[in-house]
Amino acid sequence: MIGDSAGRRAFDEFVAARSPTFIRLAYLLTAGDQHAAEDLLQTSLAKTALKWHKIDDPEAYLRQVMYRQQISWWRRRREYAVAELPEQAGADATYDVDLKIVVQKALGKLTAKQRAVLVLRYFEDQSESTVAATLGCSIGTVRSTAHRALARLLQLCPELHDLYIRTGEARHER
Amino acid sequence: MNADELVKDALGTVADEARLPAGVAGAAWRQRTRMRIRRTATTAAALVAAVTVGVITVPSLVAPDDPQVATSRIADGIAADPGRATPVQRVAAGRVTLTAYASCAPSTSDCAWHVLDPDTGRYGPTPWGWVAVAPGGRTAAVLEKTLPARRIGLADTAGGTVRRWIDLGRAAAGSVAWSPDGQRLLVTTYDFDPGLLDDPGDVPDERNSRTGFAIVDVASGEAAFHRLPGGPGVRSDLSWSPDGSLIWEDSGERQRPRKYYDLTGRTQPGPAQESLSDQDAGLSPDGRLLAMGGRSGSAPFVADVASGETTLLEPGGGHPIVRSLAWADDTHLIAWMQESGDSSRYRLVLVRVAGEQEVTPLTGWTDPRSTWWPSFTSEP
Repeated sequence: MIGDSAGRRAFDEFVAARSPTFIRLAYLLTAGDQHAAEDLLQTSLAKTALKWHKIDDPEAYLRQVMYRQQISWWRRRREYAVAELPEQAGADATYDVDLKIVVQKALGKLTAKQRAVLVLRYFEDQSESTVAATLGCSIGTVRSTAHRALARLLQLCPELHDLYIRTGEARHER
Repeated sequence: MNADELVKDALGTVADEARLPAGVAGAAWRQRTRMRIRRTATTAAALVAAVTVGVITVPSLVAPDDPQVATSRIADGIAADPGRATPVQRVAAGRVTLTAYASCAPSTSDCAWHVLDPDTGRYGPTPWGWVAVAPGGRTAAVLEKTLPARRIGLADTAGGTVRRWIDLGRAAAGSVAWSPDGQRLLVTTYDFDPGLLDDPGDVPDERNSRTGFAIVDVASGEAAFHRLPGGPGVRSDLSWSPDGSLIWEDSGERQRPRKYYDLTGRTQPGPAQESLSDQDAGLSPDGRLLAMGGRSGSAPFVADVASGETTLLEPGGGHPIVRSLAWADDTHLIAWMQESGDSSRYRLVLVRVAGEQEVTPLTGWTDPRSTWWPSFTSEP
């Protein structure tokens, strides 16, 4: 009733090698919700396992499934349960901790598609055409979504915005 | 560091907080198994005493080469067909009877439904694309071979004659489930064939296959349709809650495995305990034990609702339990067992979850070249 499992060993090896990377992507896509990230990774891996004998590039397939799955879940729920975060760290906390908390909160305020584009473009350094293929949309949509997502992120993270502007200015001055 | 690298670095500091769960490969593989077998169509029904083949004494079920098998006996008896890869003779335990099953060829995804004839106690082939047997075991709601179907047939399980058709008009049915009282049908509607084994394409399908559902009053034939789109590209059948007041779907989410709706499709909280179960079996008939499991690499388990104490389903013998399907009574589960050594052969078993776990095979090991998945009917 369940079908063959001849590829189980290869699947295990693939998961062992790649899941440390993909749990990081899942964590970003779910705006820092550890449980939701585990669900997303496991469900995406299960869907990859379903097609294990048919797919040539399991990593690309898993990436595509994960991004589309997250957007689909978000559409169905119509809201996103952002993980509870501690209040912003006090004055004696390190700057990195402050920034991490602010960025995580900001991710939770983006749409799932904005998060997906942001992670693909800026965290994974994927080209616009690759992002379009992964998400099943046009390059124009990727470009506009990336622009809006980044602008929104910077608006929600003043610290990051200041750094971004200064870095950009420094780059232009060189 | 340029501006883009700054954003990457900021995202990286968030990603650094992620923790990789243990056993994710095994848990994903089990979820894949679950996706393939889909949710078993369990309906609440009263078993007809005359149909019962009778209690089969347990020693006759125990194969000499199955050291993990222990004796087990429950009040309403056991009927098993443990020597065959696909059942031919009636399979039942306690309140639950295997009333139909779909036998499928994984290579072609072509499935053939078999239904239990209550007069002969044997399963026979049918021409249908979906079968759900009603309370009492004598009537089956059937859909024609090509899904989604525009009408529902009410067929006699003894002989297979269709006694009546219920026209669904513009709606197209991909599955049917009987309400616990046997008075209504829950029809999950789709806009293209959702398939039975898995999604047909080699790439993720973005289409939202499920369109919604219909509640059909069997006596009058009247149907009320409600829009409730499902996830992309996969079969996502809806099920009745045990009391027939709500319907639910498998959400695929750990914190809320079942998502509940009222009979018009509005989201509802769902029963407090039952909604936490990610196993088909759900809550035991007496409401004391909840079938859970499989996450983070662990075996399925049962949780005591009152105390919170959990018991892993690990009966020993090297053959793991992979999924809890239905409660035969308050302390026995019908489950899929996997042959040891990472085999792709499985069998239905009855597991006693109280005290020392005992296993009784209900069917033989499946043939890896073909697959079948069960449709149960259970008494309230």
